Amino acid sequence: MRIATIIIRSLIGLLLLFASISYFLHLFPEPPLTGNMKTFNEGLKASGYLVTLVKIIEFICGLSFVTGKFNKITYILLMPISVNIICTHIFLAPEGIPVAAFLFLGNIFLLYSKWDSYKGLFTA
Amino acid sequence: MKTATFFIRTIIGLILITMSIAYFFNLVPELESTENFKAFHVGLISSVYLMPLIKTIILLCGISYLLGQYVVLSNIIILPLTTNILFIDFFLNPNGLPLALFIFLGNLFLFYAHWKSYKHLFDRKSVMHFD
Repeated sequence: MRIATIIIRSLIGLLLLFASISYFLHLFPEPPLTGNMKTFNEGLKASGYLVTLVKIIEFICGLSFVTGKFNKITYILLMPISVNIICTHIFLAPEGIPVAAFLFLGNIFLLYSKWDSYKGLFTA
Repeated sequence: MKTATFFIRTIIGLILITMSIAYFFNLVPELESTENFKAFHVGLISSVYLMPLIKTIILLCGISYLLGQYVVLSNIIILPLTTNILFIDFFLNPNGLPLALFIFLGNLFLFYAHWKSYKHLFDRKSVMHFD
């Protein structure tokens, strides 16, 4: 179990670092988008801050996951992002579901691996 | 301190419940707004899931604040939403800024009021459940 946790944590960390660094350095050309996905993406860009904020959080979480420091807080910090990634893919871009599902389920598994630390949050 | 927490919690709870009910029953008239704000709004609607998800979370957290149950958990769940409400109003819709600022700072204040429950989350090292 311990090994599984470390493997999943590192994989997700690398995935997040890859996603954020390739965004900031423009490593890949943007894929052409169609339909609702295009409207959604344009909406996000129109907000002016949202994509940058998400990528900064992904970068911080990626660093923390890879190094294994401050994990308790970054597992929570990533949760809203992974929920939105999986929902976006389910509703708008089904071809990306496998990676999104890995990220989402991995995040839940990691939260579970430190469940003792989060129990205190469920008291009134 | 205890009274202040109670008042802020209740007021924010009421605001959040009003916001979500107004959305679910279509009570808010469409606002004429800037181009970017409109593009953003259309983008949110085209994602299908996002608006109902946000409004459901706001409703649940509002009820939790109002009743004073599970406030520690609701604080964390609502933080991404209050952050984004603040940023959106700051960048695109300055009219709503005072309300957004109040909700965001109130949320931070509630974090501060329950800080004891969150302190241990910032530990550098932590024990795994399985160890």
